[in-house]
Amino acid sequence: MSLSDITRMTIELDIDNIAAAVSSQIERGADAQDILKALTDGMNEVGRLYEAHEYFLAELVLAGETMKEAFEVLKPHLSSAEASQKNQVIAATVRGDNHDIGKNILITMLISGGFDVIDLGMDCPKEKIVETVKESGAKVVALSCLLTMTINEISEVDRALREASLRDEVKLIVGGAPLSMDLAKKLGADDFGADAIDGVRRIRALLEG
Amino acid sequence: MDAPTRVLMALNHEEPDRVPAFESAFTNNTIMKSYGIEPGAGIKDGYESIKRLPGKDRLANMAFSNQKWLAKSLVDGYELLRRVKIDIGLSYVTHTYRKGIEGGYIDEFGRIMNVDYYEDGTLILGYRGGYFKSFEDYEKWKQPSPHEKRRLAAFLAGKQVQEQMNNEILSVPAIGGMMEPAWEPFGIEIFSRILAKPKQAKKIFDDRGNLALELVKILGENGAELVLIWDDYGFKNGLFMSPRNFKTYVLPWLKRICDAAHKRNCKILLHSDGDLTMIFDDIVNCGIDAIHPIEPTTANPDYDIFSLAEKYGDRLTFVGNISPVLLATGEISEIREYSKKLIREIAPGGGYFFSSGHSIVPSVTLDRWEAVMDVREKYGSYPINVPS
Repeated sequence: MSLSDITRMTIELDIDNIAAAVSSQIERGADAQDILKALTDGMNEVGRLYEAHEYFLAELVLAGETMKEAFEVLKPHLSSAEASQKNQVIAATVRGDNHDIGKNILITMLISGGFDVIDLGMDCPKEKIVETVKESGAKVVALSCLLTMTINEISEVDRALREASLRDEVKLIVGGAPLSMDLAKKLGADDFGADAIDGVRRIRALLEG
Repeated sequence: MDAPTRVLMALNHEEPDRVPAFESAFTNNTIMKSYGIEPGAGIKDGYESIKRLPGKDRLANMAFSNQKWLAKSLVDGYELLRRVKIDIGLSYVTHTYRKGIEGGYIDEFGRIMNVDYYEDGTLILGYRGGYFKSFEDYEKWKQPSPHEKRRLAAFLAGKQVQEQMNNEILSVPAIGGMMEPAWEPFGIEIFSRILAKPKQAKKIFDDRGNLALELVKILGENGAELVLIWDDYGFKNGLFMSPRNFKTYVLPWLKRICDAAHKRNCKILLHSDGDLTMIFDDIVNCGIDAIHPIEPTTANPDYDIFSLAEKYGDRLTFVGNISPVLLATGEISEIREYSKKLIREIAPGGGYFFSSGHSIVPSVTLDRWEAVMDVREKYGSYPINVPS
């Protein structure tokens, strides 16, 4: 069993055996960062397969679940220094909306892409988002929104960040069924992610830009 | 012309007196009040009156089997539809209450539902998550049976109200399909694990397919002209699972359902959100008669009601599809132009129901709704003549 097997198992969505494989690598003295890279390489390929319509939502979600199994074993071996060096992203579903599939897939893809994610859950009030931006210093807030009747919450978050004089410090990206780039901009967001894969790509660009 | 005749003529690709209108749900107290109906009756009153009672589950389950109570709960909603000249009212044959929990209930499929209220007081039933944590949980659950008294009671209640309203509304029974009632009781994360175990996945899809098939037989034999199958095969960016999985687990059931319906002189209207491009041909080949709504806000610009109607319009009735986002935030002129385009391009020759791209949700404003109504009033009569 090698690190390339970890990558292969991630791609093949081998959820039943990934934890044992990661454990075996740790026991054999492999560096936690190298294992993380092997998992990330696997997730990148899953993302490619999804965009090529070879994998679908269920496979993307199962890949996320496979990553979770691997992380359970790997996380204690990743030093906190490594974690704090990562780019922080706050993810939440807007107030009034109890849907989290898109948000959760994004979070898994972000973690496997080397980001540190603060998950504020569903039905999240703007005040909690502002408070978390203040406390964490995160540079990106990613908002998910499925319901047409909750899209105006995006403007509310934008306004609350402005009122707290934080808007220049943080980028706001949104995603969800009723949204498009035009509407996202109209509602005060900086960017729109068409899906989780696109979202990760754009968050990376926002942080680099 | 009465609503049943209008709807059936359109489904048979003939031109009735005017384009039939449909909404899969009309949950908007503001609009309801403006048409003189005081919200609060129906499901809301029923839910509020029992939620704190001891023995509420038993009471609710009794109520859902009582045709008289069910008919009463439909009257206000159907009356609103009648006043806004929507031709179809739904009766809910599945998805019923099983067990009350804080802030909502668990339905008979095992979906946890939130009961919430919008700022204008509109009751909103929203999916919160799945009750089952594993396949074993699913197996322990008493599965919904097609032969429960509540099924026929719901259908007959709808027909009773239709009769009371002199056929100004066609009551159509709505039942769960195969995909949504399969994954939602688990949530997508657990369901994705189950999907990787073909025997477990097959069991669940077969349970759902069998329920839907038996219900269609029962409803058809009791005179249903049209049955709505509630499902969602996809979402904004594509399908929930691979086309291969749809062909293995879902579409064979859909074909059997359509065949069983047609044998009983009944038609099938499929509701599915999402971009269905990759399996659209297969869905049509199963024999569905109508499809709603061709989601107008998918990420795929080629998933378009006008080009689909051009390709399949001779054998499929299209129901849709003014974007709910447009109805909540768009310019009135844009709403009018899109509505006119739908009627102008799809309605000639029948085979079209005018509708939103999902439902009338609480964020749809009165002025935008009235713009839709106005276009339907001015241009919705046959022969169609809508200026460009």
